[in-house]
Amino acid sequence: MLEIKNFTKKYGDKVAVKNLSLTIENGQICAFIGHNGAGKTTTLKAIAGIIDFDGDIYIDGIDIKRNPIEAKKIIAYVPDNPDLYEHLKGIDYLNFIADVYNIDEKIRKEKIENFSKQLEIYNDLNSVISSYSHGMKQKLALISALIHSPKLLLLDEPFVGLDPLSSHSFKNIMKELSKSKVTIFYSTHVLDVAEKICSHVAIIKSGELITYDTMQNITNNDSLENIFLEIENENRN
Amino acid sequence: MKIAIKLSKIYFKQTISQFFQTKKLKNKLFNTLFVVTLFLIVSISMGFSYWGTAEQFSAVGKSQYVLIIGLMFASFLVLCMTAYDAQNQYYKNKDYDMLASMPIKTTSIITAKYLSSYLISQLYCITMSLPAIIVYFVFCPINFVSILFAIISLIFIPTFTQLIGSLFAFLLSFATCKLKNKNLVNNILTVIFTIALIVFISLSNSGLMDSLFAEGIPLWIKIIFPHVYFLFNAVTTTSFLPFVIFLLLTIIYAIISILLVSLGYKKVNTNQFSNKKTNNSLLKYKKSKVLQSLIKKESKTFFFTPAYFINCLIGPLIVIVLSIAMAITTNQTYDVSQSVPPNFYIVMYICFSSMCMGIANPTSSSISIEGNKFYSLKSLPISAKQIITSKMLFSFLLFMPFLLIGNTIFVILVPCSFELILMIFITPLISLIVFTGIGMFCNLRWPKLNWVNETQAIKMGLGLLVSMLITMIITMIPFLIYLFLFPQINSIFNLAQYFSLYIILLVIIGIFVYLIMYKKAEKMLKNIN
Repeated sequence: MLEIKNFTKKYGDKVAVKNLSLTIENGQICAFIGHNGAGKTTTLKAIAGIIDFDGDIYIDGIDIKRNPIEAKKIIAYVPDNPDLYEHLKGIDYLNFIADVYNIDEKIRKEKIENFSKQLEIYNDLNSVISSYSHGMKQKLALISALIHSPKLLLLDEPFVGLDPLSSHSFKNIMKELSKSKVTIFYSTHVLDVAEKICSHVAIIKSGELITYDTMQNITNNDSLENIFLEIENENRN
Repeated sequence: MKIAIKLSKIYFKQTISQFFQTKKLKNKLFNTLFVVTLFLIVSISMGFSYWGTAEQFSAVGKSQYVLIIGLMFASFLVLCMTAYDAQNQYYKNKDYDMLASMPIKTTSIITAKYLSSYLISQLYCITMSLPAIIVYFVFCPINFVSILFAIISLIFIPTFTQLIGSLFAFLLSFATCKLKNKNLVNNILTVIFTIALIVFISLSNSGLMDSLFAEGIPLWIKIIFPHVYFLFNAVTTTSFLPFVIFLLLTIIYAIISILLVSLGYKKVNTNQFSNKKTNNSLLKYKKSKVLQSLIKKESKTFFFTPAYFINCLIGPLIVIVLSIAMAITTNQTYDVSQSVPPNFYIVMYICFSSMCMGIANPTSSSISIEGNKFYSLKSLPISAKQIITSKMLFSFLLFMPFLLIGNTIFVILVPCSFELILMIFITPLISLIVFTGIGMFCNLRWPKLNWVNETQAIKMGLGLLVSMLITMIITMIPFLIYLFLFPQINSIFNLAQYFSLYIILLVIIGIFVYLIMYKKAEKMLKNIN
């Protein structure tokens, strides 16, 4: 589903991500972990077609560089701090996203109702986004990412700001999506949640991919937190 | 006070970086040179205008009054350009929570904000009033004290516009902060204020010249603008008392401004984003075409972002005011004035209404105003062409009615031939299309997504300055050529033919801009990081 080959991104002289290669199959939930400034957001932005880069990224075989529109039709990206159109109502924003993906009224109604009720924001959809809390905006951004049934879901720290109940609901949604072969690639600092729901994990440090494997192979009966700290310390020494 | 100075230094650096938008020395130099050139052009144009006024006054031995005209004009213009910005500066800044959580006095915060916005007013004020002061010293006797007074006064003059801006921001924000549709109400009231200001300026300008010629400085200046009156007295008589009164007045203006804003700072800011009322009406899932949906998004952003709304609507509003003012002036001077070329006011109307279509076209800041939201937009399967087309279409739809109303008023009030009526309608319309494209291109080339308040996105981008300068050059060239070379032009072709040539030139520029923009749109959009 997602194939990254020799991905490199430089900001001026600074190398943000260096020669990263990674393949994620259909239905995998892959946690992308690393310290602050490691290159997680840059990688996610490149996959989403937001920034230019060196190397190749294919989404379901479609080159994001050469055919960005087609690739973007099957992905969804939620940034770490979603800046939404504050002057729109929640429902207007969701309708806008649904229009962009050309979703029928019947399907959008079904999807919006389903996800917004699960994340407990349905009753607030008629309010303007400027009145939303950070968590509510996060929920709205997550729903907007699910409207068009993407094949690849790119999430940058999706659990930040969510209340425990919504966080639980969203974990269930992620598991359900995974069962229906949707691939999820998400960055996180919440390692115990990643350990519970992810099939795979990729660890990045200072722009370089340190390891990528199944959760089981990486943790091997230890906790993900210990493994991550070990890797961080190893590289530091 | 130490904190206020430190904070104002931060704001100052931020303001400067907003202007230049680059870390490379070469680009910084280019941008500095560009901004300086732009302000110089405006200053020199103002200088020419003041020179003409001074010559008129000189004929009746009252050349000193050019100083009053200059100071009043600078105050009015700066007021128009900065009055509504105070709302964003004080009440809609993203740093409220951070600052409010720190042990800093509200007055220190406001003082820092005041000083940073003062810098912008100062820049505009010097650009507008310095040429008047220079012209004054050319026509009137020079002495050291009056020069000293004039130079020192430049530092203090903007306190008046800051006071009006603060008063307006305080009253409006305080009155609307708890309303459900505060942005909409705020926008409507700001438009009313702006129209009232433009009407006041138009009425007072014509009255002021008459009064100065007839009896001297009118009473209303002494009452409403006492600082101008005392400064004028100080510079012309070189006596210290009026200068001290001027300084005291401006300091009082500054203190009142800071106290006023401090009064409502906490209340307004805490209520600004706390509209928690739930709307229980039925949810609508209506499907629209992508372009339609994008335009709807543009319109919501426009109508609910006060700074964006006001800044961009000033141009079209001026077209309507201009059409009435020009028509009245034309009818008054048609038969009596021999000093202006024939059809001068028609040429002036066409050129200035065309300029109004470009000086603050929404496209020149429509990408910048998106801020970080633009990255989400980029992640959607929408082509760059669709994004820019929606932004440009919105600009056309917004400006077109104003243009049609203004033109209709003008052609009803001013008798013109059919050919000229066509030119009056077609020239600004083509200008609108061309300047919309230029604005879009400049914003694609110099976007400004990382802003703290909306005013920075709208008024401080290099893209906006470039598109403004291009607009001014393109629209002023035919005006100045006609003004200075009208006998030669009239001997070759009539006015309609003159503007037909201009339209052809505009169309060529337009085709060139649109071709490049649509060809490079994807790449330019991708380069926005």
